[in-house]
Amino acid sequence: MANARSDTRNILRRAWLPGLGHWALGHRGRGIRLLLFTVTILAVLLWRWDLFVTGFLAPFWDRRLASLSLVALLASAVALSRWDVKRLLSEEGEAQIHRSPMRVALRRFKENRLAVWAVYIIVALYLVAALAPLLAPFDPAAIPDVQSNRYLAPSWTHPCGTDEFGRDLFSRALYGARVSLSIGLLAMIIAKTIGTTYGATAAYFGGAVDNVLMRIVDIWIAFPTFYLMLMLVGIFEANITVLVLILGLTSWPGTARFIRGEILSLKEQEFTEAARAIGLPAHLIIFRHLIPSALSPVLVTAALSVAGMIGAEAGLSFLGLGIRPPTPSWGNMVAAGQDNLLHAWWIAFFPGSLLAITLISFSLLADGLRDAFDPKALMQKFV
Amino acid sequence: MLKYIVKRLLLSIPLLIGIATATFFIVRLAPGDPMDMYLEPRAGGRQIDPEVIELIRQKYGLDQPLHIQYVRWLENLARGDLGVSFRHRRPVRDLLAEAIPYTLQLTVLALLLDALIGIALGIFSAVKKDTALDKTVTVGSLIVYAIPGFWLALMLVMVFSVNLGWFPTSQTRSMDYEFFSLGGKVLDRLWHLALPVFVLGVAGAAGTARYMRSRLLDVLNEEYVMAARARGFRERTVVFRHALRNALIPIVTIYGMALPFLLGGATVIETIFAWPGMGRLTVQAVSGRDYPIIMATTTIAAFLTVLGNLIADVTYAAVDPRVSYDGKRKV
Repeated sequence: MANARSDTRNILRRAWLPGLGHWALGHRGRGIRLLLFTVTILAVLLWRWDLFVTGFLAPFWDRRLASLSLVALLASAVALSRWDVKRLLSEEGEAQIHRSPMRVALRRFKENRLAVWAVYIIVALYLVAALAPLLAPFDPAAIPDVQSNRYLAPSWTHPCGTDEFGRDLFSRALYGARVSLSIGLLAMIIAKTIGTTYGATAAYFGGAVDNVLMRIVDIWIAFPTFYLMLMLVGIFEANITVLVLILGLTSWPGTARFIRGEILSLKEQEFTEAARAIGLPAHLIIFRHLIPSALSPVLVTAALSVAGMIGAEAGLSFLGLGIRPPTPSWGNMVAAGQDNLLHAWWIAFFPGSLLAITLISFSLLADGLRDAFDPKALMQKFV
Repeated sequence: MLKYIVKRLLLSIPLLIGIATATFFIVRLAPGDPMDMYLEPRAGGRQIDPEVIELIRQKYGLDQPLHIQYVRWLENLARGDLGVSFRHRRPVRDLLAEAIPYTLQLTVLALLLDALIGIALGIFSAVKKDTALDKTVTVGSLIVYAIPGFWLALMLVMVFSVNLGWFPTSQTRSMDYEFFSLGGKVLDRLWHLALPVFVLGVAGAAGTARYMRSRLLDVLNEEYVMAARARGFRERTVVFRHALRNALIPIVTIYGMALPFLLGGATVIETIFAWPGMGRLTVQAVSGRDYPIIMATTTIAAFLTVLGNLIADVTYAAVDPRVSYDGKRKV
C-alpha cells in the first residue's frame, strides 16, 4: 500500500517533464508525442534564445506574441502532462462509462483518423504562424542584393526558394500564415457571433420583429457572397482589419437563418417554458439556454467557415484586391508567382500548397465533426 | 402551376427592390464622393477646373439630392438602363452584352462537366458504399473541393501549358483565328476553353458527387426500395429504375440554383485565363473603382440568385409529385 503511494508520487514527479509520466504508466505513444513536442519547443527556445528574450520588448504583433506563445506552450505542455497523469492515476482500475453527448462525440471524432490528422495539421499551422518570427530564417521584408539573390531555386538555405526581389519565400510563407490564418479565424468568429445572435433574436421574439429581421436576411443572402466582398473591397481600402470586417460582415446571414430555424423548434420545448416561468429575462433565455442548445451544428459549420474565409481572403488577395504587398499573404504570394510560372515555379507553388493543405484540413475537420455530432448516428450507437 | 409561378414572381418584386436599394446605399457608404473616384485616375495630380467638375457631376446626375438619385437608379434599373461606365465611357449594358456570351461558354460547359462527372461518381460511390473505392471518391472529392481554384488553375497551366505545351496559357483564341474554317474556329475555342472549364467543372463535380452520394444512400434506405429488392429485381434495376429517380430530384434543383454561377461563378478563373467575361469585367471594375459596373454586376448576380431559387422551387414542384405548388410536402 505504501509502496503504491510512493509509486504514484514518483510518477507524478516524472510528469513534470511532459511525457515521462505517461511512459511510466504505459501510455507510451502519448508519452513520446508529449516529449517530442516539449523537446521541439525547448530546441526552438535554445536556438533563438536572443530573439526570444528581446521579443518581450518588441511590438505585440511582431515578436512579443511569438515569445509569449512559446512560454504559454511550454507551460501548457507541463500542465497538460500533470493533469492527464493525475486523471489516469485516479481512473485506473475503475471502468468509467461516459455517455454525455460531448464525450460520445469526441470518441466518435477520434475514430476518424483523417480528421484527427487534420486537427494536428491545423494546430501545427497555427503554432508556426504564432511563432513565425522565431522560426523564420530570414527577415520576410528584407531585400538583399537583388541581382545575386533573386529567383533562387529551393535549396537548404532557402527551402522554398526566393522571389523576384531575392526575399526568402519560406520566411514570407511563415509570415503569410499569420495573416491568412488569423484573418480566417477572426472573420469566422465575427460572422458566427452576429449570425447566431441575430437568428436567435429573430426566432425568440417572432412576429413582426422576426418578419423584419428575416426580410433583411433574404435580401442579404441573395447577394453572392464573393460579389458582395468584391463590391466592398472596391469601396473601402482593404487592410487586414477592414478585410476581416468585410469577410465577417458579409458571411453571417446563412448562420442567422439556420439558427433561427433551430431555435424556433427549441423555443417550443419545456425547458424554455420553464425558464420563462421562473421569470428569466429574454436575453438570458436566449444566451444561456437557447443558443447553447443549438450550437453543435454551428461548430461544424465554423470549421468550414474558417476555410471559406481563408479561401476568400486568398482569392481577393490573389486578384490584388485584398492584402497588398509587401505584407505577405498566401493569396498575394501566389499572385506574385503567376507571372513567373515559366522560370520560377516555386514562387506560386509553396504558398499555394500551404493554402491548399490548410483548406483541405479544415474541410476534413468539418467532415469529422459532422459525423461525430450527427444525432442520427449517435442514436444508432447508444440507444 | 402557372398561378404558383405568378404568385412567386410577384412575391419576389419587393426582394428585388430591396436588393437594388442595398446595392445603392452600400456604394454610397463609400468614404468620399463618387466624383473623386471618377476624377482621381484622370487628373493624375493636376487641378481640375471646378466648372468642369460641376459639368461632369450634372452629366452623371450626381448634383441631385441623394433620394432623387436613388429613385432615378431604381427607375433606370427597371428600364434596363445600367448607367455608363466611368472607365470605358460606354453603357454598362453594352459591355455586359459583350462579356456575357464569353462567360456562358465557360460556365455552361463547366456545369455539363460538373453534372456528368459528379452524378456518375456519386452513384458509383453510393452503390459501392464503404469499399476502398467509395472512400477514395469521398475523400478525393473533399480534397478537390477544398483546393482553391486559382491555385489549381495555375498548377495546371504550369504543367499542361508551360511545360508540356498542350493547352494555351490564356486568351480566347489563337492569333490566326480569323483564317480558320468554322469547324476550326470551334475547335480552337474548345482548345482554349479546356483548362478553365476543367478547373471550374471538377470543383463543381466534387461537390455534386458528395451530394449525389448522400441523397442516393438516403433513398436506398427507404422502404419502397427494400420492397423492390424483396420482389427480386436485380440490384441494377433497383438502383437505376427505382432509387435514382427520387435521388435525382434534389440534384435537379441544385442546378436550378446554379443560375448565378452561370454569369458570376468564374470571377477568378476568368481573370487568370484573361477570359473577357463578366467576372473579369467585375474584377477590373473593382480595381478601377468603376462604380456603375460594380453596381450593375452585383445587382444582376443577386437578381439571378432570386430567379435561380424560384426556378429551383418550381422544378422541384414539377418533378416531385409529392410536393404541392405551395411548396409544402403532401406526404
